[in-house]
Amino acid sequence: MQLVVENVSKTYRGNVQALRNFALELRPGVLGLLGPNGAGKSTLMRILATITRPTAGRVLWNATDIARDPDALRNVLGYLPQDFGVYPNLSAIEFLEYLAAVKGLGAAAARKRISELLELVNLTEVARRPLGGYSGGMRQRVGIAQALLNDPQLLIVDEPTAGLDPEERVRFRNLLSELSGERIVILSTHIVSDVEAVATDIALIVHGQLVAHGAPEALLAAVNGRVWEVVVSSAELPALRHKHLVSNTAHRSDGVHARVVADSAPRNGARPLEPSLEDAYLRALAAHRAAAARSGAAA
Amino acid sequence: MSAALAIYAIARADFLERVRRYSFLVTLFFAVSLGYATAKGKILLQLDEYRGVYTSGWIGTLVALTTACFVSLIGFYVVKNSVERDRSTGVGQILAATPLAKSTYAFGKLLSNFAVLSSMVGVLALAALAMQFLVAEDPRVDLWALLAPFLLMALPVMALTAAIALFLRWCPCCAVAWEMSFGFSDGRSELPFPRSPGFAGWIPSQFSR
Repeated sequence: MQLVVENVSKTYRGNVQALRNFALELRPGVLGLLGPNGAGKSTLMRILATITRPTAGRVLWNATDIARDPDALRNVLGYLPQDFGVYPNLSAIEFLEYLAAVKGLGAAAARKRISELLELVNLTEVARRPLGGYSGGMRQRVGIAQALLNDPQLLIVDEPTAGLDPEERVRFRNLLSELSGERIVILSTHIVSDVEAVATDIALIVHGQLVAHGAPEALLAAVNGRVWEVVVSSAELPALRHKHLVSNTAHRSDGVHARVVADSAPRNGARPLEPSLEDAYLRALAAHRAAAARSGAAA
Repeated sequence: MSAALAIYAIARADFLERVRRYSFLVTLFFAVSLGYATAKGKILLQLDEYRGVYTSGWIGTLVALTTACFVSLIGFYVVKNSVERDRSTGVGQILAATPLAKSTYAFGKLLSNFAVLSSMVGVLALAALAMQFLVAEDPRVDLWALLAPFLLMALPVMALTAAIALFLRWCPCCAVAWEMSFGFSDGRSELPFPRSPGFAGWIPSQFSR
């Protein structure tokens, strides 16, 4: 089982470039695709889900070009789009029966699978209620259930935790962890904690380009010894932010405890900290933006 | 087998989604009002000063003609957004990522359109039966004579309406011509996007850019 993204680019009308020479190779596990809003994550997800065609490059599923033979992938694909929608007047069971038939499941197999999935996503008790009355979190769970109907080998979930409350978010992460194993899961998000919890592999995308790709440990290693805590007054904080990358702040009785990502101690008394994935993410983002600004200035 | 099941599933889901909306109830109310107006003699079919005797055959023909004329026009509005709905709800994106063939999708939507319009015809057929008892010019009920005009005239017109409503979603030139002729297309019909094989290549632009 292998998914290869070969130098994929996508340009929309008006010469808007959403992806640039994006290359990636995936095997079973959970890939966390991290990037700020507008980075090109959803475009990449749509290309991988065979909805959009790349302008250049290709995507290979087990050595088959999905632009030439999309059904090779669609038969084993589960996709939860960012703006997942439902028919509000259908119940969860009716909606899932509909999508099961569309995905090619027989009636008996579909009934059994739907029952299992409703149990998995904890919706059995409300399964006969109209979807229009579901909360955002319940709808997302219907979304993940529909994505799993055909027991997919490739599961793509695009910003799945947007709009969920903290408890639902944790439940969703746990569910994704349970679902990994012998399948490729791609979790696209801008929320670092979601990725931190479940990803076995992380890809960082900024302005349509792959900025970093590797195991979480490798990304963390890049900021090892570069994260500091300094205590400043509220008045000093803007200057600190201006000079350094501040990844977090917390107001305490002795001042503002700022978490700073810097190659060397930002000031006397700075205390070294264990790096987090968020530190690594913000540093990579800042480095990419600085490089882009330099190349823009040079041009 | 799976294509037939998919067609049935698309038609069923689309049909249930539509008939459970308030707008459908409003349309149904209009259909019943139409039947009532016919029963009260407000809609008449007459030649000079002569009109038909309200036998089963005459009432069936009268109501079926009224249905074919009015319900096809009103019904068009009810069924024309079946593809648009898949786009606006986001369901289309999920469909686009499945092996669903465009012909299967189209047949499913066509069947759903036809089922919605047929349900209105069914209500009016019942209204026609009630009307015969109400008017009571001829107490003998001949079911075949009453229903045949619905089966042979109203339902084919509904099938045509269902097909036109679907076809216009992908043919903007036809939509404009229809609008000029009849003035009830919104002119926002979508073109097929044949860049990708299968369903994704056929769905409206928001899905397949």
